[in-house]
Amino acid sequence: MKDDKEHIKLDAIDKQSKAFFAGGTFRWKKGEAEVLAELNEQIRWQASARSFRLSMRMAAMAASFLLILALGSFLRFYSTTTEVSAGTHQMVDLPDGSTVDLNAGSSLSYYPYWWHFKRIVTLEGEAFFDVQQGQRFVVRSSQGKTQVLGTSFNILARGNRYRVTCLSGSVRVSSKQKRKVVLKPGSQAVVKPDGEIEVRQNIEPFSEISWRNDVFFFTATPIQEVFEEIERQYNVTIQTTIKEEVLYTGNFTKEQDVEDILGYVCPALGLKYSRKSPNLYFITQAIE
Amino acid sequence: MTREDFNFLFHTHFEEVRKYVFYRSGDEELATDIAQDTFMRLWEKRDDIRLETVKGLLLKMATDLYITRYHKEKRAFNFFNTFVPREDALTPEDQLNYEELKKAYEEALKSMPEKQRVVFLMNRVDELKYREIAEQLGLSVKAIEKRMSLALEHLKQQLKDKVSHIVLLILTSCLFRRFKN
Repeated sequence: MKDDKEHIKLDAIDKQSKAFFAGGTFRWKKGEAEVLAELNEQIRWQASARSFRLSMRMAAMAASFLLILALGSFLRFYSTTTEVSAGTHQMVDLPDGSTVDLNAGSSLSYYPYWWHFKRIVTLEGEAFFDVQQGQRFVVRSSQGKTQVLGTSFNILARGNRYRVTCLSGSVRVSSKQKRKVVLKPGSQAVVKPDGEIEVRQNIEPFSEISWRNDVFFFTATPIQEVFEEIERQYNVTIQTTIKEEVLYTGNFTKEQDVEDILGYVCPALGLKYSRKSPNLYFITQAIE
Repeated sequence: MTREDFNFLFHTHFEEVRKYVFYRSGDEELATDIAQDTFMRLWEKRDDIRLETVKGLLLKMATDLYITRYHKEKRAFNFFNTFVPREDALTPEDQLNYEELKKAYEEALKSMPEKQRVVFLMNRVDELKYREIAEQLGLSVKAIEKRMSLALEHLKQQLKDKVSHIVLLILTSCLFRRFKN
């Protein structure tokens, strides 16, 4: 009877709750439409906020990339150039303590901020290098390239002449035509206009670098080159009608006056000079 | 998912989600907020949503939101502020005691364990079959049956005096019928 009563009770509650809850209505304070409108608003706002943030981030990335690029290329390509005009010599100190002694009428440029990554200089003219031990040291000229580790050497790169003389350590010279030679102290490489390299052994290196002490040696040197050297050292202009191959052997020092030098260079070759203006000399065949 | 898809899903499922949270919490405002946030989350996750499983996913997201938020702010249970039962379906006597009955059910629902309450209300208010409830909540039909009978048991305990006269009524009507016969 008790079980039965319990069952009836449960049955009653089942029925009652069914009747009580079924078909009731919800009275929400906030309607579905209102919620959807809010969501749409929120979503639009969020979407645009997201793309804004995204584009800001993109812009920031692009800006920092450009900044790094600009800084990098500044460090890489900022160069220092030393030009030595005719009549003077100049000593250039490179960042690692290497020194370059530039002859008159020469120019040297290098990348100071890139120096620690790559020791590379560009030379036109003539210079004596004393290179500190370290990474590869490269001297580029229009006619050839010289690479060393740590040594001292002289490079002459004028017009189509390219001549490297090694004084200590070892030096590798390559021409544009990819010929390569390695120089030991006392040897010299001459790059010919066709790119072939001639190596001369047992050079007297001090005559090669005597220019540093204002002494100029010429051994069977075409007279045009001798005059060019005089022009550079004394900052004068020499005009000449001499076309034929005349070789000169001799030397002079800058302690002497330009006219003294012309005075013994010319007669030895059957030439004579005349002064047209303070810095202009005219050289012709001496008439017998 | 386009805006149209989203709006379609909203119209199809928003009410269910909101009711589900409301059954759990008995707090209308909380239910609306959580349902709204659930759809916000649906939009955020729109790229990795499959339409076949979206309903179960919505209830799951709502549950997660509810659990994290409900622990923060426990609010008052207030079912009949929002839900209005149909008076006309009730027995005349229940109609007479409508307000009292409402109060009694409010108390009974409030003290009922949440999981039973959700199942009970989905079955009573939305008139969903056990199988349908099981599907939506990701439970077995057995579990739903169990919760349902526990819920009824709970109501029986809570509504002792409120049903007693119904029982009496039923008994008397039975007697009457017998007497008549």
